[in-house]
Amino acid sequence: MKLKRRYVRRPEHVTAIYSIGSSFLLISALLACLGKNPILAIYYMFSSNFSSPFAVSEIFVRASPLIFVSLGTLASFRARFWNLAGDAQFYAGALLATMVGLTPVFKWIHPLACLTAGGVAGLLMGFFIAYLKVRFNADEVVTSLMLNFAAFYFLSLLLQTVMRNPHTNWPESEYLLDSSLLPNLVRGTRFHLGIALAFLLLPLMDLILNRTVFGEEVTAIGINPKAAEINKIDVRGHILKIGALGGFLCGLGGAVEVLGVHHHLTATISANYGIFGVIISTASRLSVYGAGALSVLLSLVINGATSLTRYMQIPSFISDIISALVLITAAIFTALEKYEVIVEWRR
Amino acid sequence: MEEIIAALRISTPFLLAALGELIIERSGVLNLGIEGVMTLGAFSAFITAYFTGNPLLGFLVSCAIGAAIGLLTHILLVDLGTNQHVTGLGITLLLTSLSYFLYRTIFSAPTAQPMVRGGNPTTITALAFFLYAIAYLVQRTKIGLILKACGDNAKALDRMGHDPFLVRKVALVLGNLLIGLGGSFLSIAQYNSFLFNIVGGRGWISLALVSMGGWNPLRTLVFGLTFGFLEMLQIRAQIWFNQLLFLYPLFLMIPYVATILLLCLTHRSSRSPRELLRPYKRE
Repeated sequence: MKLKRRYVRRPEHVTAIYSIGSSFLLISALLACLGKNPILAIYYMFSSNFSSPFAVSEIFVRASPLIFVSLGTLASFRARFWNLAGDAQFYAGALLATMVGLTPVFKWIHPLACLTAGGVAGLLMGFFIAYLKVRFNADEVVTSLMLNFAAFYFLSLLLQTVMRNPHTNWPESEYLLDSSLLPNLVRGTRFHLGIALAFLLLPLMDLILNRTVFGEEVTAIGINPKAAEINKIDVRGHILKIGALGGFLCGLGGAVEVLGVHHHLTATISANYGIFGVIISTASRLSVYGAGALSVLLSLVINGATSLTRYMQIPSFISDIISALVLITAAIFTALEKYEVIVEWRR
Repeated sequence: MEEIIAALRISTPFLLAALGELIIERSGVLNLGIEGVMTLGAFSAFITAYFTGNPLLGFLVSCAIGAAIGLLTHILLVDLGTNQHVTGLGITLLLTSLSYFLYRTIFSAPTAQPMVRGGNPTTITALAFFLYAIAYLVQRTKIGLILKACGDNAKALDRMGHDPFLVRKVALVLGNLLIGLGGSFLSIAQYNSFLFNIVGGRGWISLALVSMGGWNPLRTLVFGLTFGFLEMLQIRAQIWFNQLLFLYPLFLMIPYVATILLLCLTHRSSRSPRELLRPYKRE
């Protein structure tokens, strides 16, 4: 087997399809080794999502935070600003939204105020990481990872002390005031207004990132920062702006999750969404609509995994394994995009 | 005296994992798979000790698994040149979820928490200190300088006739071996069982310790011991005063916040290996 340089890059959606396909092949091999029927398992995983109208609505309930966080991560990754603090920004957004949601000052603008507060909290955090990079040259990979944990423990601290629910005495906040909640759109499900907002963000982000001068310049920084600087693009300013934009989206996701789904704050509000943002934006090769499609696909996998435990006694950790495989294989196929793999058979 | 021994025991897994990560980062590769390799190390050591009844065999198996993962990481990060942070996060997620998945498959509905006869923690703690002493001494020798040069300027090292790919392969295998051993300490020398979230962020703390220590084994050792001592103090404080339970998250924030601050303060005299996150390619 050898590698030959290609002069035309392989189209990007092919990478996504390859990585998803090979992940399912690998997970099938693992299941077969454990004596489970992989075809039946994958069939159950997907079909259980369509067993009832409620199950179908849950696909979108799961996809909405994934879309927010993956769009935020994707925006930063466009400029090769490797902000991995999806979780921290999500927590910050959820925290501020909860604080505003518990304050009875606002009347009919209450949900809007909560969403703004959440978005701004995420924005400040994203801007902070970008500022550390621009001002102190602190590597954003390490600072953002550290910030994820600092934010998580800070949240736990608040939930165990000042924000603790006095009625249940659990480390969780009180339930938000009814005026602050996002309206439910479909009776009998958890389909709320925030989900519609998530899907409306897709064309909006496509517009910002692909059809404006700012978006084009950000992409140029990602491809070659030195060339961008020579062409009089304000590299530092753009990194600050894209960091703030990415943080805003993640923070908004956290606020929507509290206001639309959980209605109170717990330390497990982000079910590892930060890393899912990295998975989705990497596997979609930073394409906005690709990220939307992958969010829905991974929601099918995550929700389907819980019913696999019921039907086939397969632990639900299988969804995390599949997602991790998608991430690793996507990284491999991205590295191979520039090459042609030639398999030679020697006689 | 009892407190000091407890503190040394608590810091052993961090110290081993941090030394492993230090070697890897010095060779110019950022390895974010620490948490995952530690979890898999803890799991494989536990399974071996559970079925053979021999904790020593458990330690050896976790070392072998760590080394194998190191080889796999080398193929991905160095040979293929994939994104180091993305692949590293993927390895962490894959290995942690795989460990829990296999554990649940083997012990589907245990009536009691499966336990093993524990190994001797003192030997491993002594080994950790011995390894730090070696790392300190090796720094100024030819081997140490080759490792450092590989992280700072791989091209120059290549011109001088040393193979950077080989240096990184050795560093990744050796480093992940130590990280796996650090994980096994948790399952068969500290808790004597495999629990959900057993590593509990210790891998990320080790990553923080390496950056805080400025990629220097002696400083990393000092920070690691300080952290182990603080953790011992806060466990004691929880036993003495029941109301202080909320201190735990506050205490866990310390290494992360300290790392961010130190990374910002030391930017001018940055000692970080210059080739981090940059895969080496020959033209």
